Amino acid sequence: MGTVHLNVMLHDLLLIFLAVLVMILMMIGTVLFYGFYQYRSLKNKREWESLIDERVSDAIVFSDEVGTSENERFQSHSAEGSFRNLLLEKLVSSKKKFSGMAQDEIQQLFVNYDLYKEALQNLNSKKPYVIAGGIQEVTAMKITESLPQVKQYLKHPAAQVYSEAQYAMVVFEGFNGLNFLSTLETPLSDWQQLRLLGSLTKVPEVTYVSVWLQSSNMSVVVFTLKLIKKFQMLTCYDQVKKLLDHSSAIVRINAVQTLQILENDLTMEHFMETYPLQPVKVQLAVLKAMKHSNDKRYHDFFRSQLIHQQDVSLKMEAAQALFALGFSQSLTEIAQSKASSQQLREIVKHVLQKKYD
Amino acid sequence: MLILIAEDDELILKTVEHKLKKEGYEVLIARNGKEAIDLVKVTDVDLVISDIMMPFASGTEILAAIRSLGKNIPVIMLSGLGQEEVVLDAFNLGAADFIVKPFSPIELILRIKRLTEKK
Repeated sequence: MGTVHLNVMLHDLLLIFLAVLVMILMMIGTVLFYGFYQYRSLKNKREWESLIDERVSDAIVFSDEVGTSENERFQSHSAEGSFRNLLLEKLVSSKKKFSGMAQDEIQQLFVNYDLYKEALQNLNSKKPYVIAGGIQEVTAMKITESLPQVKQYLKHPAAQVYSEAQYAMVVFEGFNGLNFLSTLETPLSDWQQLRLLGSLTKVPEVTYVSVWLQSSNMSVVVFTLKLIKKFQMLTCYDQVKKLLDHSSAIVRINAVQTLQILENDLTMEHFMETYPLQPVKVQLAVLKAMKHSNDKRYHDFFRSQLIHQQDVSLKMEAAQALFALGFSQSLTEIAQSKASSQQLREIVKHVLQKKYD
Repeated sequence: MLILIAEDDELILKTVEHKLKKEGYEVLIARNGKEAIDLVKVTDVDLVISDIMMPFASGTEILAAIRSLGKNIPVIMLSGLGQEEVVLDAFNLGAADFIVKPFSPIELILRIKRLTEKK
């Protein structure tokens, strides 16, 4: 009985061992297969990238010459879906590297290879990152037919998507593309503000600007102030001045910086009026703006800020303003005066020393 | 005339290389800063076109290496937007010219011609 039982146990153990072995072998096989597949894909991608680079480069350099069409390898792949997607991706990135006629050649390749379908199908994806990529593609390739669809994405819940849609609108329609600001509820990031500002080349219309300055979205107001600053829209001065009373300190700081650019005979007086009413960070912006105005009449004000102000950053800014306005003698006197506190002397010495270094 | 292009972006490298060859220049290429410095040491290049940001050694390091070798080779720097400080450094080290990306290959050729005519 005992021997038979032992035999059965050994048999079971052998079966279990074999099952585990088979499973391990299958797992190794799967890993190897997957690794090989990944390696093949990467190798293919590298080869394709090189082929595409060659094709784009030829188009840019030899555009005017006959017989510069793609080589056989390029031709053999040009109908494959994944190759065409990579081609589109590379054309979009190539457009960012060149300007002038080279860009036109890249655009022509897009047309010649009829990549509209690939560009538009990404817009219909469910994945936000694919849609965002699709918007970038139709924008780079200036596919105006896609504009209604891009417009819809201004209300998309994913930031990645609506940010790209906002940028696309401005690229396609210039200043008119900013109309979305009138109803925008989400914040415009600093980076997005920079992108939008960078892509605008024409002076905006004052009517719209006035509306955006009253927006309840703080980032829209800040962006509009930057817009006014960039295009030096002097007619907006009074509206910007009103923002010195805005509930957001960030808006007030931007308003100060904008007023400095739009400066007129009354700007310094406006700064002086608002200064005592503001918190330190806005006061700092005011001192910086006044320093840049190069107006020597405010020596006493800066001196008083340097000596009597409690906040060190304001003292420092006042000292720098005095130096920038050419009152280094006055600063030296403060540094040498026995009536000056140790802290005051250190600040002044620091400013004087920093400038001479 | 022998021109060295130091650039880590394959498309820009190929395009500038083909364009220069088409214009009748001899061309050497380097895909990183170290390769470029090694080539400058062992060859007599007449002009260098270098990207500012590159692996192993930057464009300004290439420029510094050229100057330390006592060679008076004009260098045209290719820079991206927002690299003003590096561009200033490059000018201080004696860069002959710089071009901001995205750039026009035709403009690059015109600038090379202007520089080589001066030389």
